[in-house]
Amino acid sequence: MREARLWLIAIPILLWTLLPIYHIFLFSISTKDSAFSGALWPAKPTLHNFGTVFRQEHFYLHDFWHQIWNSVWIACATGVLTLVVATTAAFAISRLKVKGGRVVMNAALFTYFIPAAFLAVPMYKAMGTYGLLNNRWSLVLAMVTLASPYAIWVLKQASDRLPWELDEAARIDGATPLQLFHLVYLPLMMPSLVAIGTYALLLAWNEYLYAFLLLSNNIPLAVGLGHFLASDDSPWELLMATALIYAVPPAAIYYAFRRYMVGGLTAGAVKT
Amino acid sequence: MFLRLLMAAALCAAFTAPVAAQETLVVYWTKGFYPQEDKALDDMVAKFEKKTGVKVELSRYSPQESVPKAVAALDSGSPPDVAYGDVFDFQVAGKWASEGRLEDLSDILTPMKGNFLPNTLETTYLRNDKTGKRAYYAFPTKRQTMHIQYWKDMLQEAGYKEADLPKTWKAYWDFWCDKAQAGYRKKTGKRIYSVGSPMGVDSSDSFFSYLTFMDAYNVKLVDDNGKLLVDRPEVKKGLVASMHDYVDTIGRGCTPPSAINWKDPDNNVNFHNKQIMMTHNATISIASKWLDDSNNDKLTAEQRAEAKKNYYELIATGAFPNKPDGKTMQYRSAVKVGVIFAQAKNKKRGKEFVQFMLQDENLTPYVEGALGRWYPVTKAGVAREFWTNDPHRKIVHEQFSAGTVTFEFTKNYKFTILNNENVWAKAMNRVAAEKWPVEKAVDEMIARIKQVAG
Repeated sequence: MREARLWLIAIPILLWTLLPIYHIFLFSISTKDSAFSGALWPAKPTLHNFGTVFRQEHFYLHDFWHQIWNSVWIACATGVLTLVVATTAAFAISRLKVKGGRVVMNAALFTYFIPAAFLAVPMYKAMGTYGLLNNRWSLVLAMVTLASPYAIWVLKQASDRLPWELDEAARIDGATPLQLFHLVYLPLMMPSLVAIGTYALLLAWNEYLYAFLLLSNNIPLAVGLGHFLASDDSPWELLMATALIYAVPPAAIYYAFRRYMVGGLTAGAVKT
Repeated sequence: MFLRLLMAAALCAAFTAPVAAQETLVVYWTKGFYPQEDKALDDMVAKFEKKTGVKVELSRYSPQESVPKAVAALDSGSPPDVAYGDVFDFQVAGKWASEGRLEDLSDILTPMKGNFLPNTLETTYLRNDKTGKRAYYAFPTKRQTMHIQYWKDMLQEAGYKEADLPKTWKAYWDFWCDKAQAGYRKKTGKRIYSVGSPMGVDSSDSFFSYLTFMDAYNVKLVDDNGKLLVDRPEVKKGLVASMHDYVDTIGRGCTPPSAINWKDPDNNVNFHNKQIMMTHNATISIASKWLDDSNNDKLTAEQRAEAKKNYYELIATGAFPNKPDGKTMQYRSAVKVGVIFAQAKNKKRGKEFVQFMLQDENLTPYVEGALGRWYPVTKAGVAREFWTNDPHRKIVHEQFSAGTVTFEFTKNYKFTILNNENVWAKAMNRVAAEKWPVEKAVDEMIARIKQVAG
């Protein structure tokens, strides 16, 4: 009985979640004429739209590969840089117990009280001052700023769970803090690092507002998709095919690392 | 140590690489509807770069994105040197001028005054409330007005021909609603609608369309000084009558019920899918789409042939019927404008760029690249055969040639706020969705107009 009730809730939620994805898929395999036919399945399903996207054959897709490369570059750089910032910060706060570490962590978390959208214009101004506007680094730095507090918090909590005796043993053997970091800390933290790297990467991959504001020519694909709405006669089937292609890498990354994701992001969430 | 030095050098290179010695001009522009439009702009930019040695950093945005992008740049103190947006005239140019954010372009536009057609350059003569002076604070590029598009084959299937379309106001709308729709439904059994009247609040088509209905009733909301006239009884009467006519078709089941939620693309989509027989649209984009498809070598030969047939044989561009008083319509036209911000870093080159682009040899390919969606602002532009050798563009040309009137916001910029809010579509929704009496909805609309623009 309990299980039946759960299914009653689960099925509508599942449908609600999958329906937009189904629509994206449906449009992407439809011809232009049949995209709006309202049919549950196109009469003549086609992969032609994907070919058009990959070959950059439509006016809105002339920069597809350049834009997707920008997305990859920005997401990877954000992932790597966030890991560098968050790992070193968490190590210093949790393992080296540096003075003021707790304050730094609380201050970082405090930034989440301000919605990211409110920081967009100040960030734009800051990047303008540094001469970084329309430079991919501006978006990477902005994304690292947004991702780091949470990353530091998660890694610090995970790091607190590591046995302190390991550090002591390494120190007795003469390990320097850098060796401790490199040889003891990083290998033990690997699941959390994968989770946080993936989190930062996906955050940057899906970002629209900051990318739209900070970049003008070197835009990632998320912003490039906005060009499809430049016309009052948008090629929806191509937009949806592009959107589907754009959704594949994050989905693949998520599923590849999903065993790390839950464990890594919740590590240290419960004190044992 | 070496590794650290290498990393430091790489970081320095990464951060300083974009800084170059060459003079640059930052230009924001709206992305074109068709490749030809973008190509014409690219060619013009290349010519300008060659002529001046200045590197133009050109970025393109969709019409909806162009305002937020410019506003963010402006608020952060790093505006582009030149900015153009398809919706600047509707939404921000008057406001920016009033706030003193725009550069006075009179020195470059006044000498060119003779090149422009009436009611084009004048719309950029805006008031700066900080200095109290009026000047050319924007530059005109192209314009648009309201057209009617209908499927000739659907009309034929309904048992009528084009010559059967009445010329008088009431008979015209009744014809589509009572005869064409009923005839088509009876013949085909398909539950289509005859009139695609956009009514969505999030749509510029809806207010452009309604304001055209308002013009049909000779309603003037402001005088030449921008003073509100909405308290005049004849204005209220005209607003009620035009609102009644506009929402009448949805009340009679001749406009799709979803029209109250339509955004700008939706009447196009419904038309292309033959869910509606006719629609009014603020450009001839519906027909032009087929012209573009007919020349698209990425489509199959059959698709191109079908597109050609749609453009030349099956779709018609028409004018509005005569006004309720029997006189011919004079259409309101929206003049699309660009600006140079007062805070821009390279205003001198920005002005040079604007001056360069407004030369006919540069402006004309750009305007014509839109396949008739946009109409020229210059005398030389409209004199070209391009506007008379095509069945759709010919109608556009005739509509504009009869003379145009301007939007209220060119006289009182606060109407841009009313357009952004879309008080017009809100009133339509009151009647169509909430079943308010037309008079009550118009009263609410007038109250809001007075509150904002009074």
